[in-house]
Amino acid sequence: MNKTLVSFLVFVVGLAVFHNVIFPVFTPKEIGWFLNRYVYYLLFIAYLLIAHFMLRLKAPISLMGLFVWALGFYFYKWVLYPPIPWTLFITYMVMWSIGTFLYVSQDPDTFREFRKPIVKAIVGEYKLAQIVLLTVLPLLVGWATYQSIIPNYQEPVELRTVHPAPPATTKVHGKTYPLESTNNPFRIDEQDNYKESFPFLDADKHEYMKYVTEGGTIFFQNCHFCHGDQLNGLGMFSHVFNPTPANFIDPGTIAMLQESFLFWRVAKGGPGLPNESTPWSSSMPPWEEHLKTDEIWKVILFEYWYTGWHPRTFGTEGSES
Amino acid sequence: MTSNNYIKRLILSFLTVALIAVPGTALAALPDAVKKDLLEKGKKVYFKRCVWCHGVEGGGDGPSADRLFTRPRNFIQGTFKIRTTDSGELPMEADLIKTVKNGLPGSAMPAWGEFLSNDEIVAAVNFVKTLVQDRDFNDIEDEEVFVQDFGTNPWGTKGPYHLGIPQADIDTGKEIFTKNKCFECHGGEGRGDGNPTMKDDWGFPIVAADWQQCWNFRGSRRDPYDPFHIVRTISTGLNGTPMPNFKDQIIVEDRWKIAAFVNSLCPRKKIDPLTNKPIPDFLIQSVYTAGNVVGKIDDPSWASPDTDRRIVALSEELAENPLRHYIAMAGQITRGKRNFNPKTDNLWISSRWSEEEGAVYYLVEYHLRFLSQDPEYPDAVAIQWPAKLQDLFGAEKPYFIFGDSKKPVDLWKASFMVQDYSATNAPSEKGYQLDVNVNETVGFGFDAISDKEYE
Repeated sequence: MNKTLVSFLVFVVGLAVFHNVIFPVFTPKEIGWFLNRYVYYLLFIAYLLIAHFMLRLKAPISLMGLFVWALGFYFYKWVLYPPIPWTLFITYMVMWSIGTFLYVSQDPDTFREFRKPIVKAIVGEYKLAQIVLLTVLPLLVGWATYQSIIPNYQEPVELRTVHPAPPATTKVHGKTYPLESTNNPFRIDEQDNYKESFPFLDADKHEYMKYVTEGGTIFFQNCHFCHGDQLNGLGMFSHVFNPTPANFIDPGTIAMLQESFLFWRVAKGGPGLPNESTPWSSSMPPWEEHLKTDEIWKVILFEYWYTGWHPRTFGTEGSES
Repeated sequence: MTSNNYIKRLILSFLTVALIAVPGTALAALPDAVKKDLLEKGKKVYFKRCVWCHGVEGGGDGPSADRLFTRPRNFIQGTFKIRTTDSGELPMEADLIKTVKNGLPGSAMPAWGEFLSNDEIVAAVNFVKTLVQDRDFNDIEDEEVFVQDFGTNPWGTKGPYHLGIPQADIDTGKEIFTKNKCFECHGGEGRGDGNPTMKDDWGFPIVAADWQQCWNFRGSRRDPYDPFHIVRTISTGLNGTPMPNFKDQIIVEDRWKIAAFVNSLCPRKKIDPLTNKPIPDFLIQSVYTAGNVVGKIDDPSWASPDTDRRIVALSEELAENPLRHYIAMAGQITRGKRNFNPKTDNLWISSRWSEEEGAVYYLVEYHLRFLSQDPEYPDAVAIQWPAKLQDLFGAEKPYFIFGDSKKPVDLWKASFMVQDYSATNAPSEKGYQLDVNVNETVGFGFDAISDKEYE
């Protein structure tokens, strides 16, 4: 059998089997030192090398170049985790393509060999390839141009700041709180001591759990409708709103904020947002109208206990991370 | 393979097929006993995740309960809705695990499958079994259960949308629906508005399922268009609710046909896998009309299917008609009488505009399962607009709870009262007469609404 074809099949069939059968095995819920996606990727490359060596395959340089390029594409698109943004993907692939080109043009012989099929297609030695190249390519470009200028309906773009700069002070129930120096009055102990404690059951034993229970009670009477029973921003009402309610499980929300910032946001809600967040763009109610100051602090205490995050602190003492 | 062996195998497979093919057979089984070694872990999960709604003793009376509709389940009596076992019986452990994993759409119960590990869910389910006081999962004498056989999908339709069920079966399903008086609770058009006075076993108000919103079916397991879930509910009933089982009244083939009918009522929309609801149409398109727009809602020019035309191709005559947009709704919990448990969670809007008239028309449809008793809030719908759009900067918006002193909103409010409609009647082919009353107001704040005056 044609060795080029065998080499191609080794690659394509191998990738299909690896991706569909072996990849799920290497991406379990709990990642290990061996069972992870990068080891999987190295294994796939090892398989390619070994298969080519064992079968004594020598693919032409154009095919090898294609393999190298496809391996890069596969890595950035499916293996690398977490997924990278599209723009970054394009940047990486441009670099990778340049690298592939360097590989095929490493010496004049390989480059000539690489060029050969392309030149043959253009001058008409490969008649079919020439026809395809000269008709399909212009059509494809034409289609892409048409797609980009065809009028369509889109909702208007709304840019907003996710974490707006907080004001220096906020006035809640007649008392002014400086945001920089205000701490949660109910954070009376190290939160991690209560990881295994039960709300309600331990509320009598530990004062801290009493506050967590009270905060949770308020949360599940008022907040879970939007922020969700799992605090992941997927409550019963969540799909209605744009922007969607904040997800407290996400490391980008309460995990990177001071408690006083949360206090300000809870107390003032959407109407209290500064101009840069385009006023009224959040449907969060100003909770100072419905909750007491203490209740707001307890809810915040609960949110950190439930998610396991620690509030950001700027002091020298007791600062985490 | 020798021919002898082959024949044996053939007989065996015939036997298997014969066993499966006997319709309506129920397999007697025992409820899964409580796994005692999991209880400690289960208690931890329960008291962190579940207690807030289901309560310390599992009485469905956690802090959130009073503000929820439907209320969280009370575990004490051992009544569980979504089962594969006969009506009134305890569920299998696998049923409970599936419920916890997939949540109960349309209620506050979220899907825990991606949030907790499988071990945690199994442990929590076993702990919940110990909260049942009136019955006993370990009682092998009195708690024998019968796991029903629901047959298989006779049309072999595929998810996610399960299209292609023959119209003849849907029509037969509708006949069986009428014959068994399903409309007495579910309403003539399956909108769940047949009986607004129903109560559950604990005396709390409850409504029948709205078949036109299958993504809210409690037992839909995040696969709302699969008719299997409807067959299961018809066959097992929903313990603790007025929904009975029809296992003995309706043969299993006919139950599949009812399911085909119920399923056909649900518009095919793209479902957001995170929230398990249709993705709202944030942009409402208004269709240009040459000449005047017909101002009657039952005019054929307004007829438009609610199904997404990217999923089901439309007939040519409907293709030009206005799109029907799905708008999700939430309760207004900020001002005034706070609505934590809205009875309507979506509405459908289509629109047309006419240059000649200088007018835009909106047709707003929603399913109301309780007629309002409150004279202040009758059966009405309002649209809010920025009153002074030209004064707003960029994407700035007014406060859409009736505006504020600086940025007022215009309110178009339409009240409807149905004249000759009785929910428990069989569906009327002619439709119903409406009292429609429209007024235009301007809001400068929640308590500052006045009539709109034109200069």
